Amino acid sequence: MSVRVFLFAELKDMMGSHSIELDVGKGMSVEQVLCHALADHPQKKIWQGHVLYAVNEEQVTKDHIAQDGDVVALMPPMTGG
Amino acid sequence: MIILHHEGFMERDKKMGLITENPVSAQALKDLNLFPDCGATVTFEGVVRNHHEGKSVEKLRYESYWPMAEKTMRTLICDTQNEWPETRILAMHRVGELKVGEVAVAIVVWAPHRGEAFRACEAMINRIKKRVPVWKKEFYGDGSAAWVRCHHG
Repeated sequence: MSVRVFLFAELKDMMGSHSIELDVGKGMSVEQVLCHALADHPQKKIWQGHVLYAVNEEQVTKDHIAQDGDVVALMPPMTGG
Repeated sequence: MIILHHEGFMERDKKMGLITENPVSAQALKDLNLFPDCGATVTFEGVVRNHHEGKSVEKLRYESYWPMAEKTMRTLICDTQNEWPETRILAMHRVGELKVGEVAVAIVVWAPHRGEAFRACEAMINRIKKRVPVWKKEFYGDGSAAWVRCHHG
């Protein structure tokens, strides 16, 4: 199955892209999607510790299971205001 | 009652949204005069300042996950109004490039009395900073730039 991954702010700059399409295994959590998206990037572990997740524009916990066609947002902690 | 269901505001809301690239101003929201029955109005503006952690800041660039930011802003307004049921709240966040002195966030809270207006306004800005998917990048006087890291845990 495939998911669309959106990256924001520092994560977007680091990966050089705002949006990537990923083929992932069924039953994968959004945290596993993050690991898949960042592959063997040296900062993977750091981001794994504090990234926030949303699926189809709703915030979810790292254990949320992604479904085929989901839009998974990987977000640094918010810094608005 | 939820202010976003207010007929007058919905018309404006459709045009500009709560997350906008246009200038925002608490005074402009206050001037809508939506609630003449309220005896207290508390306003808050978050303004771009010219320094951060010892470095001089020339401008900021705000980026959002726009549809989620819009939805989250509405949810926070509803939740905060429910928590202080006599309040009516409007809040907007500007995105894009902002110069020093420009307003990034504007909040207005109307209430029959001041106590709940103050409390709801402080809660709103704290919640916006923590939960609305917006991020800021700082551009410094020495030509460098960096994404701001989270300080609210």
